[in-house]
Amino acid sequence: MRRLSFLVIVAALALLPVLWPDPYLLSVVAAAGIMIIAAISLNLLLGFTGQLSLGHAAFFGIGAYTSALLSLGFDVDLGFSSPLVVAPKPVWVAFAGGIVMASLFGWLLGKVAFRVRGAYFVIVTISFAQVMRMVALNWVDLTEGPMALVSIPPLSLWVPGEGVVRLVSKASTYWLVLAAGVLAYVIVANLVRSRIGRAAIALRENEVLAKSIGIPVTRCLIVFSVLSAGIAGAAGGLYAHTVRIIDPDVFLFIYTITMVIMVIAGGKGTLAGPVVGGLIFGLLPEMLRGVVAPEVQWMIYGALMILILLFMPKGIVPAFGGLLKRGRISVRRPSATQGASS
Amino acid sequence: MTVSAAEQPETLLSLSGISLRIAGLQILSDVDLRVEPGRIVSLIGPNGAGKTTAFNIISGYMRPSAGSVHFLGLDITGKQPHEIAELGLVRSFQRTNIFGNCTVFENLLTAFHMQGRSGLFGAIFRLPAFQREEQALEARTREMLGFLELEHRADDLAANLSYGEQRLLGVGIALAARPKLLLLDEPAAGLNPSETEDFKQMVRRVADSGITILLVEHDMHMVMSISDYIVVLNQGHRIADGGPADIQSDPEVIRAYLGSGLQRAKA
Ligand SMILES: Nc1ncnc2c1ncn2[C@@H]1O[C@H](COP(=O)(O)OP(=O)(O)OP(=O)(O)O)[C@@H](O)[C@H]1O
Ligand SMILES: [Mg+2]
Repeated sequence: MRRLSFLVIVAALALLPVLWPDPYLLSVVAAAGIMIIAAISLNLLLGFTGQLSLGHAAFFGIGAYTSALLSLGFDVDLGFSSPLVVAPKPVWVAFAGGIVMASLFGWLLGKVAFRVRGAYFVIVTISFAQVMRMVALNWVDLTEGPMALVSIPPLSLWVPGEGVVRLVSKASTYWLVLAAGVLAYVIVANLVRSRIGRAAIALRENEVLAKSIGIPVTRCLIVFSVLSAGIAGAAGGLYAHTVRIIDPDVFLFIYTITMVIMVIAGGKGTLAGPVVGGLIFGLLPEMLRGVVAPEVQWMIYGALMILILLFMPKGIVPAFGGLLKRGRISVRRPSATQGASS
Repeated sequence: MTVSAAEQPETLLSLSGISLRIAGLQILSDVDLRVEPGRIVSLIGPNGAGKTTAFNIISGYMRPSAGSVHFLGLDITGKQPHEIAELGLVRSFQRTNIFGNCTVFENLLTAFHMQGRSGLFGAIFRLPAFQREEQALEARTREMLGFLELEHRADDLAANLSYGEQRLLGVGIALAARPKLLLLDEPAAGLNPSETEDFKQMVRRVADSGITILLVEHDMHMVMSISDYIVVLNQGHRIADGGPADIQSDPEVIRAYLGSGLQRAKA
């Protein structure tokens, strides 16, 4: 039943470019789709393991820059005897490279930061994104700094009957993002409904108890950190090869905040939450553009966020899920989260 | 590693010379304790004697200032709680400890973590081996629900259970981790007499299934009737050990702890 409604929604979304071939609409939805993928990846950490990472845009940016640079090729002088020269790689190889690089940083951050949890972890993640922005701004030899990386090649696909097609049209970009989004969603859905997903939820709910039943907390967090970073990196790669220009602003704090808002408004720890939150907060700015002044736009954005959290503190998806199945609305008892030492 | 006299293979758990100081307070002083397999051993003593602290040290939540803990002949002092649990030493908690926002079914399914092997790859691609394992774990979860007599609560959030049911679930979570040695910290605290009696029967059944039990409990009725062996702590010192009869007649134990409690147990 659930699988059927999922397939129906995906099919409907896939038909959009056919039924409503408005290039503006398609590009707006595709842009929102990329943010939704990023939000899905953030939800893996924030929603399921309960760790607040406020540097998530860093993984997005690392994926974008790595993929762009590998596809463009680059040479940098690292100070050793000969400069490092990398010839342009096929775009899909570059894209995979971006995912790997982001995952690697996810592993590193997991290793370092999960030793310092809570507020310290949040600070480490913020600083990490800031450092990445500084690198992107100042390592001009590699990143072109504020001049931005331009002419990034698009992804291409072999289509029967048409040969290799460069995915540049609005419709093909839309389908590409949709396919990646469905893939990310399915990966996360399968992951959280598994032994390792239950382990992550256990440590979010009650870490002391989780350890007592043999759940290796640190390893579990690192696995989720790597996967989360990898998916964010994929979103970054998609951004790089569809927008085809990136500058150090991809590391800006506002992008992390946008992802956090999408996840929290939609419902963290739910599968559909980041999708719903991402659609609302991804499409809203575009819908308001031209209708009201930009300043008013931001005020509406903020007011909506506050209203959602005021009336649906757990987010939109749990609120409506609760309406559907009454009786599962939980009354939290403080005793459930107390620790081992009495 | 060498097997010394202090840790003969037939000893499941042994604490030797365990001491703990926190901020100048001597919480445990040179405590020795041995648990032989197949027994129900009780650790008793007045409030603040250090029973929960001893449990925290055994299960890896606290590190002793001195002394060592051996389990199955292995030195487990300073190991992580999850590593100790993997060896088959699992504890329950004095304060109710459950996954409150998850259903009872999910609580137990999660607790079967160590009985599963599946990894990322199997989960993401839903491989046949993964599916088989999930089905097996779900079947075991239903079995455990039956054992705890909580089938009718399977789909309720754990936080919505009654206090007694939550205590039961807490023990069920520990049991699902398949312990060789189960540490129970005041499992019957706050239960009414009939619930306590049910609980006692359950502890018996658990013991009969081959699980060794180390029990902390203030209900002397329960302790005296089910323990094979009792160790008494007072202010961080071990003041006595022996069978229930020895303990009930030990003058120091009566003075330090039993007093009126003994009268109740005999009544
Ligand atoms: N982390 C800690 N820091 C300081 N003191 C502690 C700590 N943990 C325990 N204590 C102290 O150690 C002593 C023993 O506590 P513990 O909880 O082990 O007692 P207990 O025997 O389990 O008592 P009860 O029967 O009330 O559960 C108490 O005086 C307590 O205040
Ligand atoms: Mg205690």
